[in-house]
Amino acid sequence: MSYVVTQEAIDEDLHLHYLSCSDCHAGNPGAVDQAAAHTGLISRPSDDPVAACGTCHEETAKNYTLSLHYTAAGMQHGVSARFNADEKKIFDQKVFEQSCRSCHASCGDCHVKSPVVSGVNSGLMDNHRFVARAETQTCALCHGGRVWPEFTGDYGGMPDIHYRKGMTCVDCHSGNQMHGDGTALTSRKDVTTKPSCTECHNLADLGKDSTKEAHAIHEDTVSCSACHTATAYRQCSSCHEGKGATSSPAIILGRNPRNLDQLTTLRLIPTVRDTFLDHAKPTMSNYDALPNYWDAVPHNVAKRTDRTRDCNTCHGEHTYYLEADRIPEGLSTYNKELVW
Amino acid sequence: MKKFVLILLIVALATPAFARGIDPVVSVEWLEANLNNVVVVDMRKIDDYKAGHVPGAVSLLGLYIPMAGLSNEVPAADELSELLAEAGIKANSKVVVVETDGARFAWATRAAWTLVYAGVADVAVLDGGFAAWTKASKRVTTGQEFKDETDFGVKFVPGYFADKAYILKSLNSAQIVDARAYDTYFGITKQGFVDQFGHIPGAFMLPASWITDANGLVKPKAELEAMVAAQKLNARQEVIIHCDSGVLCTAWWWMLSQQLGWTNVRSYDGSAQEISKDPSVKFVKYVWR
Repeated sequence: MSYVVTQEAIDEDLHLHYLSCSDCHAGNPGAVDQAAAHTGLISRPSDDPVAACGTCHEETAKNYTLSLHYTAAGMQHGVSARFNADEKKIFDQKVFEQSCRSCHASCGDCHVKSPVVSGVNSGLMDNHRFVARAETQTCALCHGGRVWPEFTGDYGGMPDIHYRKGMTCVDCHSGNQMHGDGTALTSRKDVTTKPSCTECHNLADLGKDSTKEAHAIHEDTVSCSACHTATAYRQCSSCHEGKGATSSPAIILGRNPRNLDQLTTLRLIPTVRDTFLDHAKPTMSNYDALPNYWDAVPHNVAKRTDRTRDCNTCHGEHTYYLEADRIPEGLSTYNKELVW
Repeated sequence: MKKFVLILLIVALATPAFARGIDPVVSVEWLEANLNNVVVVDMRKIDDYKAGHVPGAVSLLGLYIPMAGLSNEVPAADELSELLAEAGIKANSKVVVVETDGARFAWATRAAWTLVYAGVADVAVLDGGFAAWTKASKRVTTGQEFKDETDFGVKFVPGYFADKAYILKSLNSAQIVDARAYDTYFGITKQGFVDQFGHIPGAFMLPASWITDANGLVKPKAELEAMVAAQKLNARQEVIIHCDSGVLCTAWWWMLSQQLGWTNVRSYDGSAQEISKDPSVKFVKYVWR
């Protein structure tokens, strides 16, 4: 017979050494039969971070309750401008609370067991030991549709240069960013602790004179990813609830919807006009208030790309540029604003 | 006497494989005994590498990348130079390629082929891959290791490589070898990215899976020679090997060129993925050579 928690794990892991099972999972440890022992059992104690982890990790747990990983507020607010007030209420109640919210991550989803994704439960990461970081078993699962395989090269192309040098998520995305800083955010774009390339790469000192010159010319109007994204990344389209979306690889360059003066890499986000229509879910009266293309950092960085090698890629050929006549029909009219 | 010297010269020039400073396939025991004299490059996922690797091995990813609609292409010369230089490789280095296991032998040879094509002559593949290393209970190191960067710059060896134009003009003169599985060659199955069932007319079938045994280890040289002889391939005539997307073909390229010493063998990395889309090439099916 094997145990969920081994004596070896108890000896090695501080949490398991000093806490009993019932300290976190409740239940009745004095009972002898399973039904009685499991009375009041809490299977996912860190769904309440403050109660479960806050006793020792007070500030982190408190901050985490407001973080995007926990609230999933990005999913709620990212689309909200497409609804009028009545539609928004329906969305919040029938879509966000009943569907999107289930994607929130508890402390344990990143530090004890892999998060359940699309019904697949990969189970405990290391015999219930608490792990500080295990990106391939945590981040890679929730972000496994786009960013992670683009980072590792599994979606095609050269693996990101940072991955090739052994860096994974937490090397750039700090614990503070993951846990939040106590501010209730509505979008990942509002995270102040997210990394930027220039924290490590000083453009004034980087490379040959021609490289310095290219950076000086472009840095105010072109994002790093626009030139240094190596290969085509996933573009999703036609999302319908319960029916999934279709996707294809492409690099798309256009105006950053959050900063129209900047050229950047855009990702097609799959909300279509009738995405939520099944089961009398809300219509989107203000659908055209938001674009379908959003600024994205594909995490497929290379020092050299066809754009860094040849100015003509952009300045002559306009390769990869979003063009009005290539925007799929029926999408938001806002998209045309993003054509450079 | 002059004739004898001339013959010696021809033999010496025509058989670069015999001038190797390292066997093309090395065993776990050999690698363990020679760890200080070689650069070990680990081709596995970075997480697998960091969890445990051959002591001193460096991670080396990105030797074959999708490009222009093809799945496995050689990176641009400047990019490849930088990759190899950062791995501590020089033109005269002895390099051992480590893949996951014997099932990934062709992926190992794809990396090894890229290295020799780039101008690194002494390259070997670890027989059985990292699985053989751990099965033999050899010491492993965790985390990531780095080597001092060299000034290596690639000098491609054109004779190892075929592009579509080259194979098209050689269809009637070279021996075209198809390294895919025999049901693919015969036309029963095909990959989704290949447009035609079957094989290039006249192609010799030589599946890459024939190279390794049930334990994932490379079969003895005599067996490989016997297989090649049974398929009636001629060592003195040019060979161009292809597969579906430029990986499996390097397994037989490695064996013929580096192990058996054949001197006129090219690998076509565009393979069936590319040439099956060319309207001038009509694959044939339900026919053996």
